[in-house]
Amino acid sequence: MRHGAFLELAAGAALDDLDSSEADRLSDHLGACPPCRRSVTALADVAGLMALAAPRRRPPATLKHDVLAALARGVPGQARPR
Amino acid sequence: MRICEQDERAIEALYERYAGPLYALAYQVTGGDRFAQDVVQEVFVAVWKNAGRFDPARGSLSSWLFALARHKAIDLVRKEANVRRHTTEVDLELEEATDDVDQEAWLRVRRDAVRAAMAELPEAQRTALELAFFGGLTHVEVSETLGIPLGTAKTRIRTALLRLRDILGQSVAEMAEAAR
Repeated sequence: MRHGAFLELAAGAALDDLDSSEADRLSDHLGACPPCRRSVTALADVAGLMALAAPRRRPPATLKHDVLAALARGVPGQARPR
Repeated sequence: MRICEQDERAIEALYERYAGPLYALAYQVTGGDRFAQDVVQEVFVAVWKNAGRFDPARGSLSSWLFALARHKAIDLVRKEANVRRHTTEVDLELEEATDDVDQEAWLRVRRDAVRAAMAELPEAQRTALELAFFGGLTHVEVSETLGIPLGTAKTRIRTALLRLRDILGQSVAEMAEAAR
């Protein structure tokens, strides 16, 4: 398998979109390839930055209270009754 | 990371910094306020409980948070039949808040850089990547939506992310690191 193909798999991993055989192939390769391991990290960061391209939205002021209450309970609940 | 010690002030600081962009991402994927709120809440509970699982070798803290949010939002979309699904397009310019929610400079600088980089992608790649990333579609679904072979869909999505990395260049690590 050519090296570029592993980079494509690394991109698929960053997008959480690998099938199990692809995930196995990538995992086997990463053990022996530090440059690809660095690529996996870099692509995860690219995916993280891409999230910032979503249109701006302000969460409701009540959400902070709901989050802190959920942490106090130790379990997530629905933010508000639907 | 102080969150590992379940320091409430640390989690509050994390909330202040990331709740906005996490909510915006979750809203974009799920298409609904309630669902987006649930996703944000689940992300913070997961961080609170599992901070020890964060591995800096696999990316920055912000990348971990956004990956968690996207994963949970996609899960929610797939479970909830009444959640709006993105089909033929994902318009990142629509319905954007026009108030001062985005006054934090770190966020604005990064958003502008990423949007500029995305604008440089060939349209076919950008469309496939946006459907996968913000629409939460698998490569199979992207292939069906766009009427292209599965292999082509996979390649477009993955090549687009690789191209984005090349366009952003050295600033990727810097921007992701500084977003911690």
